[in-house]
Amino acid sequence: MKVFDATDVVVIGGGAVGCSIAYHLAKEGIDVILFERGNLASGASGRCGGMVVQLYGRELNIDKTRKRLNLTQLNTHRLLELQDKIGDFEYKQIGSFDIAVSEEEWNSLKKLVEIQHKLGDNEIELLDEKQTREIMPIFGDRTVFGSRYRPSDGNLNPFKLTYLLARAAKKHGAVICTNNKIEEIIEDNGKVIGVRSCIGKTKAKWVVNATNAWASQLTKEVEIIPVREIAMITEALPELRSCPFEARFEGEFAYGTTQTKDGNLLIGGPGLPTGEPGNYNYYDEFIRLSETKRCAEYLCGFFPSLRHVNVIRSWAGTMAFTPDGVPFIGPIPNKEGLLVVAGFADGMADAAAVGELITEYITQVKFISIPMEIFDPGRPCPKIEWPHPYVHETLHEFLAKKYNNLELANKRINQI
Amino acid sequence: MRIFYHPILGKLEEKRKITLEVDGKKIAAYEGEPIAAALLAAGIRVLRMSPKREEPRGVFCAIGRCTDCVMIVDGQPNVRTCVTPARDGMKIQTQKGLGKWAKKL
Repeated sequence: MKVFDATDVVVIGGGAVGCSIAYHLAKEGIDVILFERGNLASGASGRCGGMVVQLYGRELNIDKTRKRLNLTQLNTHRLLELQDKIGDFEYKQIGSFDIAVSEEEWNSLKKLVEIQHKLGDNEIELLDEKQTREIMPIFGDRTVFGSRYRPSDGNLNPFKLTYLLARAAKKHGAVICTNNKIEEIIEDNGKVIGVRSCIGKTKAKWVVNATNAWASQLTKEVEIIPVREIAMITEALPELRSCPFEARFEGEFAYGTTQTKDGNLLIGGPGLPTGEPGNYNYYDEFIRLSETKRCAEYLCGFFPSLRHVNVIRSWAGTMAFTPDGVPFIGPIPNKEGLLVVAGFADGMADAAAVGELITEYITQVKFISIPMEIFDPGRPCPKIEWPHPYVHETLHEFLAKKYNNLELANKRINQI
Repeated sequence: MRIFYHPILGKLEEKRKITLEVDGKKIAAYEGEPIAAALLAAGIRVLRMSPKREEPRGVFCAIGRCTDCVMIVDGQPNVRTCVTPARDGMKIQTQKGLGKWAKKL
């Protein structure tokens, strides 16, 4: 097929980020082919909660606040502009919470907000219990100490965002090729010359690997930490006020909910990897009933009124972190023409801005002010210590500690 | 209207007679039959109004998949009446849009 013989840029991965890159490049008149292994938004983009949270996480790399906010704040502006340009993807800025459920957490949250203010993140607010309950009235009797609140966060419909971006990209001349897995990125003398897929070779000047959790499978140079998460959706409910939130229960796990435009409540939580220790599967797309139950139970402890609400679907998906928590965006050293875009724990909070960044790099025309160097995939990337039980080794240790015994921990992992 | 004798299924099994309250009106029903069946027998075909265009909806698939027959049953919206057995004294309301929850959410 002639169309697939040669092009300027090949984008691998048809999620929100990949489609955004294809759209922004095509808009500048560059020939783009986007390859996707399954269907558009069949990876993390279609499995996420659609929360646009500009800064997730607590103690972990608080020092990198500015770096991450650079990107996500720009993205927030761009999403609003995009919504006028490409169509309605239900983006609403309704704020997001990070809730403290213990005194200890509350104290650390207070300190964090202080640090964040010092780092120039003035938007973040500290709310006490009364204010938190006022904005989010569906809390039950469970003790809430307070929360961290960012009013410009929000949620959107990730399917609509991805498909609208893909449609707009096609309108500008991009080619979208789904159900076509890229087997290999072809190199010649330290220079990338194209990709090989089941329909043959495609020559390209640039290859953008936007496969997030699967990025290290194609580009060995980057280290990605895949994280398996689960999600479920309830029947449509009348509007509950301001819902996107994140909270840690039992001190370690992060859970969240958000309400879609149609009223369905999206609930998400950690799904630990399946398989044996040493051979964990972080890409398991099957969900077990016990996982759904565990996640629902935790959240019902918080919102007792949700006990009567029916869950209509649940699923599992894989997102990814980088070892130091700042995404990889940019060229791989010593591999001319290869760009990597990966390591988003919240792709919706980066998608629009990343498209622009990559386009800027390829066209060499600057129109935004963020320096891309801070996201350089070739940077020294010391592993930070995750407070989450997310990293391969610590996960197992965490469970062992929690259940006081390694054997039980193994059993528990196999159960869920 | 009810079919008391069916050429294949035979005679209608006799069950205890009960009453349901539909939008304040009392109707007769048999215990354990789907709520939707009792409503159809009583001539009630509009079970809910759609959320966006507020159009009438009724039984469609009748096997609990399409959720077109959902009503508010004893204060809980989105109950699929085609697969929910009728019990004596149930309070059933036509659901308008997403419905009103009796319990505070």
